[in-house]
Amino acid sequence: MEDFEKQLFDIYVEDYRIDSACYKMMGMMLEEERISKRIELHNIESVYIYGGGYLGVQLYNALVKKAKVKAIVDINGGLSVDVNGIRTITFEDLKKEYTGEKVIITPVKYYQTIKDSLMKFIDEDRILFLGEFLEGIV
Amino acid sequence: MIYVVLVDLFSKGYAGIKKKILAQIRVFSEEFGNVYYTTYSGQMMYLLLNGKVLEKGLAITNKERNNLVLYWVKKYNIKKAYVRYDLSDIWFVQFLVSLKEQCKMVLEFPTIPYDGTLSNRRLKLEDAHYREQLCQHVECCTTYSNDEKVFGIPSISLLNGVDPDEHPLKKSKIDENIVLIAVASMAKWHGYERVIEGLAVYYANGGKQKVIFRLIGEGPETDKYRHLIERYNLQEYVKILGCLEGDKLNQQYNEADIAIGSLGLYKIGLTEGSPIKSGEYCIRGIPFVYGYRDNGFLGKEKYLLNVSNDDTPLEINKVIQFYNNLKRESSYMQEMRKVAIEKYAWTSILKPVVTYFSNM
Repeated sequence: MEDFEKQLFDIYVEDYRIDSACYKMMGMMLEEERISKRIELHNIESVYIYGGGYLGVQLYNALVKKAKVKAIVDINGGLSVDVNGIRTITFEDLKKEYTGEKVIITPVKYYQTIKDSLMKFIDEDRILFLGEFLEGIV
Repeated sequence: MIYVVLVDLFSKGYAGIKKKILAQIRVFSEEFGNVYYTTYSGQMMYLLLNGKVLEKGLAITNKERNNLVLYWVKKYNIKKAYVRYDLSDIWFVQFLVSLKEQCKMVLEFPTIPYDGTLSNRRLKLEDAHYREQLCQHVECCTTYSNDEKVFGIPSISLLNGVDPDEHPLKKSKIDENIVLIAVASMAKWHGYERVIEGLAVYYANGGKQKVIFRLIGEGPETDKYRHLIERYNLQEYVKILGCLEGDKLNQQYNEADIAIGSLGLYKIGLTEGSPIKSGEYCIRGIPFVYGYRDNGFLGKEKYLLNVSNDDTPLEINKVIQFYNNLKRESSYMQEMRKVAIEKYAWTSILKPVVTYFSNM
């Protein structure tokens, strides 16, 4: 395999794995019992969801009756899904209003970049990845 | 030392395997000091020590997952690695190449052969291709079969060990019913449909002795068993109790007369093995029925009933006769426990592995 093909192969693999992970997490968010249990395990009372894509909105729907979702945070300050009634804020807004809540990061591809940005004003132990929230070690 | 697990050690289906791995880690700790271990869940790779998470990182691809392990091996200056095998792919082979540069390594094959357990065509193809390369990079492996080599790698044969403190001797019971018990993750190789079908035949032929079958645990075959119970109208005699632990599980063991080991290994092309469950049944003093060659036993022991490794219904009359003969002897439970304690202590089982690591 040439270098270019290897590189392309790696990208295909990464995209495939991201799609598989998203599909799995989408499914898990439909399991009400799991969500209630995980909220309890992570000791979540109020939370911000980072990412206004499908995963973020699905997570909002899974959490909204069980915990206080303060807002969905998105770099563009909006949702990429056409849904009404969800409070959305920008990263800058979060910086201003954040008071120690947990933040769940939903975008898989940009997790590390988002986490690094959040860690400038949020303790690491308050930041969770969605997969970690759903099935990681507590 | 590091014990590398590349799958989710904390998931429901891994409860028994987790216990086994932690017991192995205890033995390695006694010999080599700190033993770090890894697990992968929720797309996160974790490094743990003594049950506490030391490090974690998002790892979407196998390559990222493996790279995190290599990074931690370097960071914590780890020189010995015991790797629990999952499946082979190009990244796993590359991982072993890099790991070997930093550590003395042993690869454990939990099941051999395992082709029958794979249903995904891509995984099957990928694994079959890349596992042939393992022998170029691994000098020692362990397995629970009697194979001298696995994929060309010299192998140390192990038994699955059992912790006596976690598995107390079963208490005697008084009632006349014969209670069969199966504690498992209800996978296809357990083959418990053979017991349900055997009971259907037994009761259809007017079986007088009441025989009850209790299934403990949950898994992919549970629904199939549920349908069979309904189809044969065996609700009074066969109960699915779900996952039980601690006192509730001990209670079920105390009420049981005979345990049922794997009866469906033929489905995954296996004829022999050393399942964790046979050691656990033995250490609790519960005679058991199984359908394969168990590497932990001769097969002639009076407290074992070895049946065929195929899809025929279990002959319940044979089981009753076996139990009636056995219960005339009052000391069989103590004898089973004594044998199990001698045979299934992880310290003695892992001795050859410890010796291998010590010769550095």
